Amino acid sequence: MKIGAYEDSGSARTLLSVECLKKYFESRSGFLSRQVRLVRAVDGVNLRVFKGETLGLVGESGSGKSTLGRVVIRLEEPTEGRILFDGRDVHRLPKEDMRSFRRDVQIVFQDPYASLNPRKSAENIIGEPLTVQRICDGRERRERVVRLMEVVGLTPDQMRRYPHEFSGGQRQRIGIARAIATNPKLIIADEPVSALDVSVQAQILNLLKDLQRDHNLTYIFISHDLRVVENMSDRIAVMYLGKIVEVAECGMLCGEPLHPYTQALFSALPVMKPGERKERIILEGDVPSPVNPQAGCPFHPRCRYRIRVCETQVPALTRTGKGRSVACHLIGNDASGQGEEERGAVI
Amino acid sequence: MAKVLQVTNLRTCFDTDSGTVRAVDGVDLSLEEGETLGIAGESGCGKTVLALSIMRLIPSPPGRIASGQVMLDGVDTARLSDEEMRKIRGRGISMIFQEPMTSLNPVIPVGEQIAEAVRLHLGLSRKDATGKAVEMLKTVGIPSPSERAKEYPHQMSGGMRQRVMIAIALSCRPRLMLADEPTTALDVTIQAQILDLIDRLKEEAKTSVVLITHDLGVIAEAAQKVAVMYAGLVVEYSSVRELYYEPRHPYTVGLLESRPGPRGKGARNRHLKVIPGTVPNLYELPPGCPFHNRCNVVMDRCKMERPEYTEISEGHYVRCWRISP
Repeated sequence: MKIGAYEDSGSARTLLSVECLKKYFESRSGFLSRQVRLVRAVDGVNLRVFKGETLGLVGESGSGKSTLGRVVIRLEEPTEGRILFDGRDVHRLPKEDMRSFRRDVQIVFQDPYASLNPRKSAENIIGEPLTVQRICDGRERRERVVRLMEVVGLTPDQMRRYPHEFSGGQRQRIGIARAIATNPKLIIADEPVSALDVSVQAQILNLLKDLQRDHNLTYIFISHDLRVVENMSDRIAVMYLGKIVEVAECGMLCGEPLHPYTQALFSALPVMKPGERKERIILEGDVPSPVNPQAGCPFHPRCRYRIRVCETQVPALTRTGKGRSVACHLIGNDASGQGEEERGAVI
Repeated sequence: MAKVLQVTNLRTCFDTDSGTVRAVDGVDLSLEEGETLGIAGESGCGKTVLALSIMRLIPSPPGRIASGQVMLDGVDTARLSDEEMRKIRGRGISMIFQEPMTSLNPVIPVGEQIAEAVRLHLGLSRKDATGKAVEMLKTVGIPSPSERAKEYPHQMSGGMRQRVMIAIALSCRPRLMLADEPTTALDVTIQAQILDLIDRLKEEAKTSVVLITHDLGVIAEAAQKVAVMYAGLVVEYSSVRELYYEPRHPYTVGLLESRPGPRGKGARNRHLKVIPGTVPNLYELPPGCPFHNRCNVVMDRCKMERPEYTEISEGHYVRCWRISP
């Protein structure tokens, strides 16, 4: 079991650490407007990812989970804060080290219809990273592609086909084969099954589990689907409006969510048991916009427990017990006294 | 109780350059007053075409209703003129769609769009219709409805827009509402709000609902009856309780098992159960049972003959040779 990594959260087990990360975008309200508004997509995130684990990242649309993934893989530059991969600052890597970073960290995108180049054959899509990384070429590359296609459950005779000739599930397999081609250490899976039919989702999730076991991969698994994240993850971080509101070991978080938002998320999930109606927390209002958010706790306008301090002060992500941190004014620190506030510290 | 909707042996075909596609291929369904019928199925199984066929909104050509009957409150809709059918839409049946942004008019304020519906179908004056629109916005839980009525769809969030769609659909108190993936584009917390709203309004207006979705969880919560569709056919139809606790068709069983549920210990390292293969292309349907090449209990007969739609216990229908030889 990889869980329980909290006791020895020493640097040896940490593959990735995100420190005080902020990513703001500028948005103009109109084409010619001079008024610039800040979209706080990621707003002060601290997070660690341990070797060999799957960290689930859940949140609703606009919570910043995809942006966080994109900053980690350096598709976006952070506004503030830093990301350490294997102890080195990702956004300050010299050019020659950048190449090896690109090899070590890969991404699988949500929409297999939009993320594959329609003018390239499956062989070229899967083999491209091998060429770019100067790992191999020619016949050797073809042999590697054949093996990769077999690993992800495609047949090698399909390698001359183009993306439109594959089904959604098969395209996602191509995307996964491309991602593992360079033997990466970390894969960011950004909603990898959301665009797929229910009966195909399970196939892809099983494939991701097999690959992790066989290739010793670490995953950041981003999804809005709590049940999928619950099934895939060792630990789960819940995001709301650019901030992490709760992070805990999977069984703990799903069994007994502590943050009022996490509670509402789980309570909103439909249960496949007709007749067993559960008490449901219906949140009022919409997911607020990350443009110029209100002061205080990002969740306070929808929170049923809010007290006065929630409207003015942002709660820090605080350790509340072994393997769990929560950002809520109403949830106290670890009773054992070890969990003094870790404001700004790495969680 | 009176049957609000009765569909008998409905077939809808599309004639295309590459051949005729039978998108709905012999569907029987019925729905009683105040009930919610869930229609479950994956992409391309014919759920939406079924709903459009009930509404008589199939674009023709290329589409056509090849056979079968749709009875609405005892009236055969095929016998109605276009004009009479138009009157029924709105008052008799209404529909809400998956993506409210594409079904609302972007250049007309939402209040006016609701008012238009009630003016047309209920014959209210312009002023009364505007009042009714504000009242409907209030009913569906939109704060400060009289100001919101003046807004355009793009000024609203996805959840708000879906509420506006529901307001339009229910403004004339229809007998039947067809909801096609009403919550698929929405976040879970908003989905819970919308399902709650549909349920509440349904009680108030005594409207029956057909809820189309790929999400079996949504149906478990919101419906009393459920039909599972596969390749244009209803493969299983029963009460929600029976379908979830005693599913019979191998496809239904597979769908229920392949969905990750609340996990027990060790689920992290366990595989999910899988239905092999993918949803079939309607152009290349296998002969016999359309599910046979993905089925784990397939027999020789399944490859040749299409299974009959058989009642195996009261109100529980299955299309499978294994279960009803």
